[in-house]
Amino acid sequence: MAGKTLRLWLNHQQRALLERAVEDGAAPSLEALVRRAIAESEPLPAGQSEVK
Amino acid sequence: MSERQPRFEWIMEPGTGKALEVRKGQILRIEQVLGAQCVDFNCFNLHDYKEFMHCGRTRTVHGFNPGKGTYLWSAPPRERAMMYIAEDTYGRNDVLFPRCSAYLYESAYGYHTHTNCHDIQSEAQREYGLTPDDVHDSFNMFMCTEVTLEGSATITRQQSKQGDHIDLIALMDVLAVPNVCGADVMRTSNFGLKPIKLQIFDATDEEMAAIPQTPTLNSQRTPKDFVNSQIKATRELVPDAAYVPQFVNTPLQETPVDIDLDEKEVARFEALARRSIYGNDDASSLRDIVFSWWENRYLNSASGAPRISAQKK
Repeated sequence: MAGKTLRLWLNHQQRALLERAVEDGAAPSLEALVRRAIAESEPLPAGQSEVK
Repeated sequence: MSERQPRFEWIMEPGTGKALEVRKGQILRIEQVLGAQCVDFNCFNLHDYKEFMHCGRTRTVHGFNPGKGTYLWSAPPRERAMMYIAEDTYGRNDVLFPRCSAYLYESAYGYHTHTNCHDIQSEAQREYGLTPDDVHDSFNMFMCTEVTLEGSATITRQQSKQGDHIDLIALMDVLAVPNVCGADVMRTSNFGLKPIKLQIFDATDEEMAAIPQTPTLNSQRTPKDFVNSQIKATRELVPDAAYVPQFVNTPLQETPVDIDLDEKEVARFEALARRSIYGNDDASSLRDIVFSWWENRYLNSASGAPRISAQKK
């Protein structure tokens, strides 16, 4: 599987929330914060769905 | 506290309610005289009746069964803690069911008239000039309810005893309106109506100091913050020709952030992407991952409850 560029679309409210996390030291940049979120998130157990 | 002298004492007989002024720093005690009696309750800001206890907000913060150590919250945009439940000896209350109404007893039981919490609340607060339209959903004290796995709400019988009581400390001046629930043909109060004792005490400094702090935020707006702070005096709804929308933070336009992922990160993303919801929409999947991570890391509660400090006032 090759690398890939994903595009995150944010309105200014969403961006402000994430940028505040960056300012609070969660990551050095918005891009790094997104990579951290991917790294720290847990997939759903196999067969489990959140859609009711 | 049981030895202190009440400022006020009243027995609510079945079929009745009572509107009571409870000042900030006073305790309203609502007590079982015989036991097994549901009490419906709401309260208003004594100085602005448009601020009232909101079951939806209270339910969001404290769940379906608020009890000792929780608050009764006012409706948005005020969203202030109006009263604090300092004691609750039975520990079963409900903010899921609405007040019972005359319509219920006519439609389900065939009564032309029947005691019901809406009309009792209405009649009690009429003493203060309020109308039947000013009755709101109630905090149902000593009411046992459950939610089934299928999503239905049910009422069960109760076992509150003589002397069981709830102490509400007023955090602002309120008009409190408790009533003896009028449901004598339901299991709510075990198919019978019984009197309820009301008392008002002064809270001690220690009792006030023991109340955890709730946040004071700019978003807790009062009429001085409203674009239109006038209470509408006519019933007909007609458009304001001078109206110009002032929705906040609009327009909400999205701008892109490009994220370069290496091979390992792409594999991780694929494992996380909620394809059952978003299909092949990588952008929506990525946004879900990022904000779900933020929720887990930063949000006090998934339901949006405020952070209530354990620090004493």
